[in-house]
Amino acid sequence: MASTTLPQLEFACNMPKVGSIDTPNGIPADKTFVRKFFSDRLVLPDGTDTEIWGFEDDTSGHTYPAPLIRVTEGDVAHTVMSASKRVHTIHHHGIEPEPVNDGVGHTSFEVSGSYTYQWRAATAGSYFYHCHVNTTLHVQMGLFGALVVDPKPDPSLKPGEKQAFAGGPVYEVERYWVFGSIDPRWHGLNHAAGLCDTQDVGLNDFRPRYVAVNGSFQPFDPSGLITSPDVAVTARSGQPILLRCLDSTYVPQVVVFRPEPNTGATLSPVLIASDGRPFRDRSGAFTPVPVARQSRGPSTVRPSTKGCPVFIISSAERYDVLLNTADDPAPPGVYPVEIEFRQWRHPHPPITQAPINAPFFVARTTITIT
Amino acid sequence: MREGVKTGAQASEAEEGSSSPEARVGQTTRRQFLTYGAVGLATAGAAGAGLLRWGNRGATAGAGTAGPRHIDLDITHRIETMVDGTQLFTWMYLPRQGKAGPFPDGATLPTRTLDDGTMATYQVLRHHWASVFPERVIPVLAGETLEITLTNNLGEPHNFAIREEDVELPKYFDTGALPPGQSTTFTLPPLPPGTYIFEDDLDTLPEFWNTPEDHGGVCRSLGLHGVLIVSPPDPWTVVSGPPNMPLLPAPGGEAVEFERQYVWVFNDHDPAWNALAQAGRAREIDMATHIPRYFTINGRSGVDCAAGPGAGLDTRPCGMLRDPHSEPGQLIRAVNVGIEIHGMHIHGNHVQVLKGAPPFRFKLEDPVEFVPHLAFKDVVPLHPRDRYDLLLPCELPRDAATTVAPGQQLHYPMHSHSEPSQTAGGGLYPGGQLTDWILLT
Repeated sequence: MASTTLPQLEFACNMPKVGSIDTPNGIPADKTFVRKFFSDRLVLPDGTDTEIWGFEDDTSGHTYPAPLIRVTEGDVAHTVMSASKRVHTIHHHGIEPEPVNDGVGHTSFEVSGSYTYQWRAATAGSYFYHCHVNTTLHVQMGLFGALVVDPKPDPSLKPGEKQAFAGGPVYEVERYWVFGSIDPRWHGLNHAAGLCDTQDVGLNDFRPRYVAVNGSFQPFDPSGLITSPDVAVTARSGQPILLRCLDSTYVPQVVVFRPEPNTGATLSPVLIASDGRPFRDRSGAFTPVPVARQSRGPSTVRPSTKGCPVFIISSAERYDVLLNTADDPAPPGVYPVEIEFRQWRHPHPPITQAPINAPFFVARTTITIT
Repeated sequence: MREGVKTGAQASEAEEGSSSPEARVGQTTRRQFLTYGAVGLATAGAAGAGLLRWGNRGATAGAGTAGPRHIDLDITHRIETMVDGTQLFTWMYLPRQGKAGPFPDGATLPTRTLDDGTMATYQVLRHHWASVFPERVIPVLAGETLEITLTNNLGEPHNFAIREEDVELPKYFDTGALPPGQSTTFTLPPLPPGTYIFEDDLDTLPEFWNTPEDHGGVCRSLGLHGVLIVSPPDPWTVVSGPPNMPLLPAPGGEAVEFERQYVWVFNDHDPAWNALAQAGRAREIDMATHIPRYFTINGRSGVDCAAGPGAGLDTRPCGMLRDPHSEPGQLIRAVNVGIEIHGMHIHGNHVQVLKGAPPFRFKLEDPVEFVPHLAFKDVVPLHPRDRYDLLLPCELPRDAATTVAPGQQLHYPMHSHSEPSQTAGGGLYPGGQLTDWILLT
């Protein structure tokens, strides 16, 4: 145990804490979400299992990641967080309330009982939420989920059409792809690992061995695909698809849209928003950004991505990707999509390379156009 | 003083240990004053740069002559104390005259003439020169010539280079290798307004190393780095333009005014590297071994940036509530001089990306063309050598469910969301790249 006079030790160990308190200036909610802490075991693709933590509501059961929070612009939302035995918080990432509802220990408090986070959804877009206590560990353990703010419904839209934001392009098929990874060593650590002493618990060294989209793990099979219906996409040609993408883990991903293997046809995805804000030009008009095509660089570990639309997403970023619009329909076919997880440490090679020489750290799924 | 920002004198007191500029000029006060003569910048307009004079109050006020500003930089070593008390051997370009030479350490803000002709005394708390820069920052005014004498006091060759983020693009400037014990004097070329990293990049040359891997960034991360800020003609603005694309909210404008500016230098340290450097064995460093244990902003981390008595004026932006449609906020220049990818996540407000690598640039393998756009982000990924100019709007937290009362100090964190960087020595969360910003309502 180091000297207790070390300011950082005081800071880390003695965050303000509360049991159960009322939310200041509480007002009635339009939507209420219950998020209760749980711990459970999760079976990984190699058959081993590991401890995870999560947030559940009254009906969700134990899921990884935690259930989606979805509200409409203007809604007053209440997120009722119950912490169980130890302290937790919920930070609604990208949502910007006053500090008391922001869920950060040192700028408000950590919660050992129950607290209702109150916020009003001002801006449509893709967000997420997570525990902000010992965040490095707690998010990796599974205390996170996706969050969507929809615009108010536009009565001029046809049935089945929706928008990501008011005045934006329409979509009909939607997925929220939450990219995640697990370093099993971390899952054996204690709740407050490293907080109240200067013990080296290795939370500076993240080496994921399992990768997932929406909690569906990439099979340990080089030709394996993630086929879960909440990940894989099927749409008619010209039926617009919105892919909300979140990097919920600590390593960057490269998202690669492969050509249809039989026809050679390619997708032409565009980025319409990031971090809950649409891309706009100088006049304020919505301006989509085409996903750039990789222009160089053969890959040594798998077929080259040259010519493929690719974008990179880093920790906690969100990108909203639109494709297969009525104006730019994709020809029918099955289009592979690869989410290539990079290592955290320099030089960030694909996790497919050393020291883990296995091909399954590319998560693969498909977009099927009929 | 409601804004909580120190004046130049207070800022100097808050930075004990920085060398005082008067050692060079023989003054009896610690303070170094910036004087503009009688001409306010607003009336000086675009020609303001030619009217700027640096000097000591009383000695050169309004009477200076334009000429190169000289800085002596010694390439040397020192000990930096991490937030858990660990003392790391680091390298540094150490200015002999104190932080960044005789400017603007301790400088006070010039007054500024308003449209109605009055002098705006409140401006003492505002804008460029009221900002407190961290170590390793050298500001340069538009049109100003900077002459640097560089002396290498270390035991191996080093250089001073300014380059693009992408190592394959041409450099802006390079002294070439400077042998141990040697000095060289050079004049920096004129650079477009913006934020630049200067660094020792000799380690990108294969002949420098005993091992064949890509070594770009070793010397930079070990401390041989700094930030060069080149101001536009109106130093209270940031100019967007080539080579970075314009991303301006101002209709037809080429410049965005800000209230204050801050510099956040992100770095990471593997103590094993520092130990090798201390032993004179830096050339043996193998980049594949990098396991950073300390993650810093402006050389500090955790409580030392965010919340403690030593929390930095340089790391912790503070501003009054502003109307995002008519009043720009705080300019933040963020650079990554480290080895790893970091990502700024700011709570409370999204930031507007004014300049720099667009968030969707395919950095890991390929620079690509991008289009002008307005991007507001709550996470800004920082790849090694990335540099961003960001505007923190200081607007009301837009998702508050009830009215935010006036007269409050709202504290929000900014931290890297690449979460291993939130640790120090393998734990001590939040002891890494964390600071706060404060919104005064």
